[in-house]
Amino acid sequence: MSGWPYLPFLLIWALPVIALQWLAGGRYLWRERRRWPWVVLALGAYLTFADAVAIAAGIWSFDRRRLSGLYLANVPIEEALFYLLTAAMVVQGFTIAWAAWEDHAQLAARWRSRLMRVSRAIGREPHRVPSRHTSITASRSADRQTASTPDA
Amino acid sequence: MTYATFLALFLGMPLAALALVLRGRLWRRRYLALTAALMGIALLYMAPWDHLAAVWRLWSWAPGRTVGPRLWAIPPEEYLFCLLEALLAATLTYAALILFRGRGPASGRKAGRR
Repeated sequence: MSGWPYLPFLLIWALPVIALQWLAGGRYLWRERRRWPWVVLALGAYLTFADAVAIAAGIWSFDRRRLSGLYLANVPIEEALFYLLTAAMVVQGFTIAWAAWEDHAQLAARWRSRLMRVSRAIGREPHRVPSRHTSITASRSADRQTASTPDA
Repeated sequence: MTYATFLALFLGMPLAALALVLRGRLWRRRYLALTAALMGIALLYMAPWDHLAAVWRLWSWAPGRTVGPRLWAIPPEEYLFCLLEALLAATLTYAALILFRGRGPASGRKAGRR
């Protein structure tokens, strides 16, 4: 097995992750859209430049038969794309996790109310000691000062 | 230039500069947890892919420029590159999200809902 060319090998590894991030956290990426794309671009460009230095210094090299033949100076275009995509994976991942962490309290409350609604619809109440549960959730939401209501 | 020198220069220096800019804000639980998680995930996801490329000889490293022993066909500096790149990406994103804002990391929309 001689292996794949660089470009499809890169895309099949990176694109599913990027797509998954947009599927799962697209709303956060969109919300922060004025910030994180600049980080991806800046980091991708910077690392491509660093790569040019490394290639010129002979630290690593590529099998030219597996490259498209397009170069940015001495850097294969696939390498530049690699740096952009890997930067995107980490930057998007951090942005989504960061924004979601903030929303966690509200998300948890929303899922709790959904669970209660489903239980009621099925006709079963969740197995809890009602008074103790109510007092715990009441004090917890008072501490968090969340703005969401169960009908949010 | 060895691979290690390259890393110290091109990744070590920007990271040091960022650490200077962010200073105390780096010792926050959320940043540390997210960054550590992303670095680990990046390493785990990159290793098999890089290993395949190395085995296929899609790319290769000059023997005189790396430390020597390969872990699973990959030089140790390559693992370090992956970790440092993830660290740089996460920290830069953190800086972008928390700097130049009126208050904390909350977006304006959230405050408006209150």
